[in-house]
Amino acid sequence: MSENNKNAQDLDEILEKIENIDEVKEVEVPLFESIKFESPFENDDKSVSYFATATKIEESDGEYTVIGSSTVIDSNIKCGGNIKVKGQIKGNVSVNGSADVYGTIEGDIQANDVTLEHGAKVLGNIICKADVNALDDSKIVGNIVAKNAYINSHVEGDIEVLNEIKITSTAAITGKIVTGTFFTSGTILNATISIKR
Amino acid sequence: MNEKELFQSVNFESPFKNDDRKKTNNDELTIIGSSTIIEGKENSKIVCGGDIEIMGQVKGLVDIAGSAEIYGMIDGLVNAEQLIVEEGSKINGDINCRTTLSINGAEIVGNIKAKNAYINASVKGDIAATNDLKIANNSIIEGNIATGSISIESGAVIAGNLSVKK
Repeated sequence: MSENNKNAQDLDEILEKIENIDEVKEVEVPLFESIKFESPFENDDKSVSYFATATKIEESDGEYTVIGSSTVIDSNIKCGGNIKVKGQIKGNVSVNGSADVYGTIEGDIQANDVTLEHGAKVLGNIICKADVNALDDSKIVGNIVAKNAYINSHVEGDIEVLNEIKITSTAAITGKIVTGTFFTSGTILNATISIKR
Repeated sequence: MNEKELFQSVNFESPFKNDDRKKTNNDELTIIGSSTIIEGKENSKIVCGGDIEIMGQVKGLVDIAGSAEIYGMIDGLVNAEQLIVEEGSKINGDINCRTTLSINGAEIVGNIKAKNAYINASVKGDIAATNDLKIANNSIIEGNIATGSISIESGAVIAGNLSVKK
């Protein structure tokens, strides 16, 4: 009898949640809003999340900044278009469009989407509005926050994904994974996984 | 005409045929786009083993092994093998150019050193050209000039000492 009551209570709670579906939706939003990114740039309010500061960069679609393979930049970079990094950057990279990394970045990356090509190395956090795509032979030492993540590489750090994460057999992840949906096959995982809906 | 013949008959001329740099140094070329800002760290610097094109803004030292084309703004020392500063650009810092320097319609605040120099710009600072110096008619130079040989176009404004020594 008491068990039935409990079930009925649970059902009531679920029904209440469904009625207040707007509240449930809000659960997804704070995930992104709660990211407090310490801005590398002067005059930026440090408490403002990346997604608020990103709009401050002058937008320039289709424009490419290319860092050549023999170039070393020891500074922070703000970029309104897209960036291709074949060389080395020691500093934070903030891009309005996409960031293609072939080389090494020692610093945080903020971008709409990030692709790590074969041999790329990122020592820093990656914060991404859309997708993170890490091909095999690439390495990330730092946390990843993104909408979707496709990981074929070594990751030492936590991964927080709003939507879905796909991890292939070439990946090796050490850290905590928070995700909406999780796909994997034959991966070496040394990770705590929590799936949030 | 079948498909094979059709393709054989097309004479495609590569647009990069005469562009040696794009062919050989494609990986080495660095481009700083016009909306890109490089700054925000103490002792910021760019060290570039190949060539560079700067359309954006750079704060810090720029050291280039190859040639540099500047369309944007630089706040710091510039070292390059060959340097072209185009119209509308601004350099706030010294320029050291190992071979040929060409400044056209730009604004420079800083001392300039080069082997050969063509200047058609506003310069606030000293100019030293070891070999040859050409000053074109739209130049406004506030500073001393030391060079091996000089040609000054009429219309150029120079406020400073001039010494020409072979």
